[in-house]
Order: sequence, then structure tokens, then C-alpha cells
Amino acid sequence: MTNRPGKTSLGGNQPGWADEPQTATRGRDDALRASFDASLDTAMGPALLEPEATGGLIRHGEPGSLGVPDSAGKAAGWLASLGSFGAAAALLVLGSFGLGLGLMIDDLFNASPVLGWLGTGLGIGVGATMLWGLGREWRALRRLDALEDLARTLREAPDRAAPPRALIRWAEGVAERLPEASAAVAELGRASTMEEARGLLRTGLMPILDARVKALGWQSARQVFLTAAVLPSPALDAGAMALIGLRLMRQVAVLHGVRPGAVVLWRLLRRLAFSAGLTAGVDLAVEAGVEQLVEGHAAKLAGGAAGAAVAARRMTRLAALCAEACRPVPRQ
Amino acid sequence: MAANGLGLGLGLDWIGNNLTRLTDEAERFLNESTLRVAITGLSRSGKTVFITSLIANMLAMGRGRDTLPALSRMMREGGEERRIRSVRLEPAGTQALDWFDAADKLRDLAGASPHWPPRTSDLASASLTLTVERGGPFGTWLPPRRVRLELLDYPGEWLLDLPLLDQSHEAWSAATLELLRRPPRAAIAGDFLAFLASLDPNAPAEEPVARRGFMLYRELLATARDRLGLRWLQPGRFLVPGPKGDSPMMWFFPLPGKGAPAPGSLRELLARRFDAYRDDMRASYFDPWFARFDRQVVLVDALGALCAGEGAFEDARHAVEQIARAYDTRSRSRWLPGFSTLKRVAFVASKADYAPEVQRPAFESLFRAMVGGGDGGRMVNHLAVSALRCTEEGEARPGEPPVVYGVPMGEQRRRPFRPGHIPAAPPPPGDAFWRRPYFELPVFRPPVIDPDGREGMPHIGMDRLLAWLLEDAL
Repeated sequence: MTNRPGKTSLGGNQPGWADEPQTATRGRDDALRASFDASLDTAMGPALLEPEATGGLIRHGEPGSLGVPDSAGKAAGWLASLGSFGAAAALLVLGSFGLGLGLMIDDLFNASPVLGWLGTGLGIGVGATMLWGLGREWRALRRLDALEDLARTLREAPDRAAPPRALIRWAEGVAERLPEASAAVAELGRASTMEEARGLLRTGLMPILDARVKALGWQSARQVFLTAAVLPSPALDAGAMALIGLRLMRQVAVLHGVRPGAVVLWRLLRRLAFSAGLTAGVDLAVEAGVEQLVEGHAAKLAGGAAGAAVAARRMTRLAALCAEACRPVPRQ
Repeated sequence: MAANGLGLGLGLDWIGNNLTRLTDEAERFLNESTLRVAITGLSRSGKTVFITSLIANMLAMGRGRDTLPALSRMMREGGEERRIRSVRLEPAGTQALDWFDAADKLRDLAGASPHWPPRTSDLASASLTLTVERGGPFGTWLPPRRVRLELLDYPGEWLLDLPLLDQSHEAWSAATLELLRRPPRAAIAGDFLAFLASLDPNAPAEEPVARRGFMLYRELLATARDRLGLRWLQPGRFLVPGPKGDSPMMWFFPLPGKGAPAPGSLRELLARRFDAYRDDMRASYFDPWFARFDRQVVLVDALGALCAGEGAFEDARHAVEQIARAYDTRSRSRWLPGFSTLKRVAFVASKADYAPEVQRPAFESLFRAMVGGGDGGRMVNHLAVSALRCTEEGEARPGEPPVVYGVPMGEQRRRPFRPGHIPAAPPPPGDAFWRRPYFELPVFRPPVIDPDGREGMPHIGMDRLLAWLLEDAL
């Protein structure tokens, strides 16, 4: 069962670092290696020789870089295609609307200059409103990107580095929305190293945020439970669940300093769908088992409200997952 | 009414908390696995630096640095794009052991006046958590796995007490005295053997005599380690007593004699102390910390032993063989001897950076023949590794022996080091090779590295070793 290195599937004696010094000995064939052995007197012992004129301390340079996957995960091909399809559809609708507006204004000018100018004013108002909306979306996306940059910095910065200013700014923003987190944020501001900052973040600020997320989740869970128990139609149940779920996502995102525009919500949804937290398989099997348990007991207690209990449970889960997607530090 | 509402809220919280706990436990059961990795080796074989390098390179890999190329290649094999998403050093928690402070060790190695970590004097542990993407067609749909690596650092001298667990004072004394009467120990054992010759084994127990014998024997062990470079030095705690320090149970030494000792005799006192020492090592260290391991790395300073001469080489070989045998016995189930949790054992020749690249294949071959291994039921590998590469390859000049460049400790300029002829197999006893004079390997200064560990630690072969060791777990 002995596994000889030269015969493993891992290949031969590869250098550990990408910048391994290229020397004359590298890549020699066996014959040359044998000539080396032959040139060595077998009785020649080890020796530390005299220093050379040149050459200081030993420096090996830096290793190569690996493509570390984004913690958000990448969208599957079909979802990316769906995104492109959506963008094309939006362009079609907006383009048609613009062309229609142009034709309408032209018709109005033909009918009367006053009507034409009124139509132009309407068109400018609509365009400006749309640009304002796009600006909001753009700012929201910038905010999400900044949070992702912060998460990357927190992940990669060495322990002894100073905490980045972006972390303090983000924490101060959280404290504005959550006054009970002020003390934890002030303490975080006093951290001198990343090691301390990470520790204070995990033990001070994040638990307060998590408690608030949990409260929001339970609040939405209660609303979903009551709504699903009262509404007469499953289709209405689904609609209500979607609305309450989206509102919950917005609330959690705002809590974490993310501006919840439509594009940001889409990105969050995509991240939820493809991040480790909500993927199918093992996790979902566990969830399904728990839901079966809840459903069984709830059915005994509340008859038709069993489905509502499961839906409520999903709201708390959604809140936790959304918070996970918005956290700058992963949960341990 | 308000009280009812509060009660309902608390009830819902209780249910929610328990459901969360239940799902967390189930998730951990399904997604998390723990590997206990024993980093074993004789004293000064580089265990502490090995663990520091493993942690630093793994953490750097988790931050996107290709510090372990063979490991990342292994993860991509078979068309599966598995990756290590993140690596985290677990916080100290509530463990009773010392915490292995890798960052502190790295600062020692990378500071303005770099130095090697001092001798390990007590047990210390560290745990890494690797978050690994799943492979296969459904990999992207499944949550990532977490693989925990538990690492243990301890004084290498203590490992030599492992074979003692199955011995009596009588058997240990016989084996030890036989070694002391043979070269190379015979040259330094004169005082102790003369002291033994003056004793009557059946004489009544005298505390001053027992203590004098202990002191003489301990001095003998220290001399054998420091002057002759020997490693098979039992009992290990005589050289590194650990946090408990010297205690009366350690005041014993090998004394010849057969059969049951007479009650009240010196031999009986020494045998009782030997038993107490052995039981204390078993209860305090081996049973709680060494009983169950999934992987084992056995580090051996094979080049140092080769340069120190035939006695030191044979001594290191004997020590490794005894330790591997003792480990093998202890890792097997008492009820099912064929079953062992220990699946892979890597014998590692440390200080591979002292050998030029052209000589490393011969070095590995020599090492393989030196330590052997490969018994049934588990995979065994032999590798030459340098956990922290302190040298650079020298330029090959025709007709001149190959060299590596290193900066000796306390100096600022690099000097060529020639390891001399490294045979591909151990030379037979009495061979001309062994007539070379005793040579102690120079201590090279650590290379210039980032004290924050952003780039990991330069090494030779750590990636191959980890890729093989963790192949079936990642």
C-alpha cells in the first residue's frame, strides 16, 4: 500500500511557489542528474563554504494568485441568460415608450403648439423621473458593491492591519438605524487591529443586528401566519407571502446599510437562490424534515392552519438568509 | 391579557430557538467533518515550524494566494472545479490545552531579528476550518462542506515515552543498558555505568542514591542529545519536564536485575517510580490527546542524522521505527485489531531545503529505505519537505558539487552549503561513507517573509504532502 510520490496522481516534484528561482539544475534529465552523482566523491562530506561576494538575505518573492470565488456565488448560465432577456425586454418597453411618446408629441404639435408644448413638458417630466429612479438604482448598487468590498477587505486583511475606515463608516450607519448598537459601534471604533475589529464585530455588533433581524422575521412570520390562515384562496396566500417576503427583505437590507432598489433586490434574490444558505440538497432536506414536524404538530392544533405555520417558519428563515447575504462578515 | 401575550411570545421564541438548534445540529452533522492530524516527530525535527507553515499557508490559500499549488491542482482533478472557499483559524474556545499561537510564531520567524521558535515545552493545539465547495454534477446545488483540521504540538521528547507504555522497568532497564554499553553511547556513559557497577541491586532503598542515579542518567541523556545528536532518549520528560517540573516519581534510572525485586530494595523503589511515571504519562498525555488520530505526519531530521554519523543515523532510524510501531498499536481498536482510525501516515524528512534539487530524489530514496513503513491497512508515503524554505538553489558548475545558498544565523551574507554525497540507500554498517567526520548542520536564518502571513510561508513539498494527506477528505 506504499504510495511512492513519483507515481501518485499529484504529479512530480512541483515547486511550492510560482516564482521558484529558475536555476541551471531545474529540468535536468536523468542522464545529467546521473553525471552530477558521478561527479560527487562518495566520501565528500557536508561543508558550509566561505561567503560569496554578492547576495544578501534570502527572499523568495510572492506566490501566485488563485481565483477565489465571490462569497455571493455566481449565477447559473440560464439565470444570467434570464437577466439578459429581462434587460432586452426592458429596453424594448422603454424604447417603444420613448418612440410612442415622440410620435404622440409630434401629433400634438400638429394639432396645436400649446398641446405640443404640454406634451413635451409631460415627456420631460416622465424622463426626469425615470432618470431619477435610475440614479437611485445606481446609488443602491454602489452601496451594495461597497459592502461587498468591505466583506472582501474583512476577509483578506491580515490580523495586525488597522481596521479600514469603510468598516467604521458602515458600523456608524448601522448605529443610526439601531440606537441600541451605539455602544458596540463606539467600541469597534476603538479597535486598533483587524483581529480586534473582527472579534468586536462578531461579539458586539452582529448579535444586536441578528436580534433585530430575528424580530423582523418573527413579525413577518406572524403576519404570514394570520394572512394565510384567513385568506380563502391559495393563490392569494402566495401573493401575500411574496409581498410580505419582499418587504421583509427590504427591511433586512436597509438594516444592514443596503439601499433596496429593484436591481439590488433582484441581486439579493439571486444571491439567496445561489448562495450556500438556500441551495437545495442537504440543507433543504433538513428544512423539509423540520417543516414536516411543524406541520404535523400544527395540524393537530390548528387544522387548516398547518400550512400557515410552515409559511411563517419560512419567513424567519428568509430573514436569516437575507441577513446572511448582507453581512460583511460570514456567520461562524 | 398582556401576560398571555408575553407567554405566547416566549413560547414561540422557545420553539424557534429549539428548531434553530435542531437544524444547526443536523446541518453540522451533514456538512461538517473533523480530521485529527498528529504532527509527530523527534525533538528538533521542526514540528512547531511545520504547524506554523501549515496554518499560514492554508490561511493564505483561503485568501486567494496559491501557496499550495499541488493542493489546488488536486482539487481540480477529475474535471471537478472544487475550491477551498475560505480557511479560518478557530478561536481558542474553552480548551484545557495551550493555544498554538501561529501568528506569534510567524512574528518570531519574520521579525527584524528573526529566530526559530524555542523548544516546545508543553502541549498546544490549533484548529483550522476549511470551507470546501462540493464537486460532482450537483455540487453547485449543495451547500459547501466544512472540514476541521485539529493539530497538536508537543515536545518531541515526550513521544519517546510512547513505547514505554508497554514495558516494565526490568525490560526497559535491560534494553537501555544494552544500548549504553554500545557505541556511540559507550563513549559518554562511563560515569553512569561506573555508578551502576558500585550498586547492589538488592540493597535497601536509599533516597540520596536514587536521586544521584537520576541526576547522572539525566546528564547522560542531555550529553547524548547535545554532543552526539542522538534522539532515542528515554524517558522524554527527563529532558523536557513540562509544566509539572521534576517530581519524585521521575527519580529513577535503569538498574539491571531479573525477576521480582525484593521488597524495600532500591530496585523495587525504582520500579514503582517507573510504573508511576508511565501511568502518569498515559493518563495525562497519551490517553486524552494521542489516542485517536485520523492522519499522522512523522517528521524526521534525516539529513542531520546522516551528517552526524552512523550512530546518530541508526539511532534516529530506531527511534522512528519504535514510535511508528507504538502508534500503530495504539491506533488500533482493542476489540477489532484490524480496524484503525489512522488511515494515512506520512513519513517526512524535514530540512529538504538543505539538499539541492538535484539531490532531493536520492534524499527521498534514502529516507524511504531508512524508515521503511507500509504495513497493512493504511497508506504510507515518504516525502522530503521543508516547512520554511531558508535556502536558494545554487548555480550548478560543471565538475563542482551542487550547493544551496543560505544565511547562517547571526550573519547577513549568504554562504554556499554543500550537503556532500547523499546516497540513495543507507550505506551498510562499517562502510567508508561512515568514516566522514561528525558534522552538525548549520542553522540558517529564516528568509524574509511577511510578518502578517499574507503570502504564507515559502516551502518545499508542503503542498504535495497536504494534497496526499487530505486527498480523500477534501
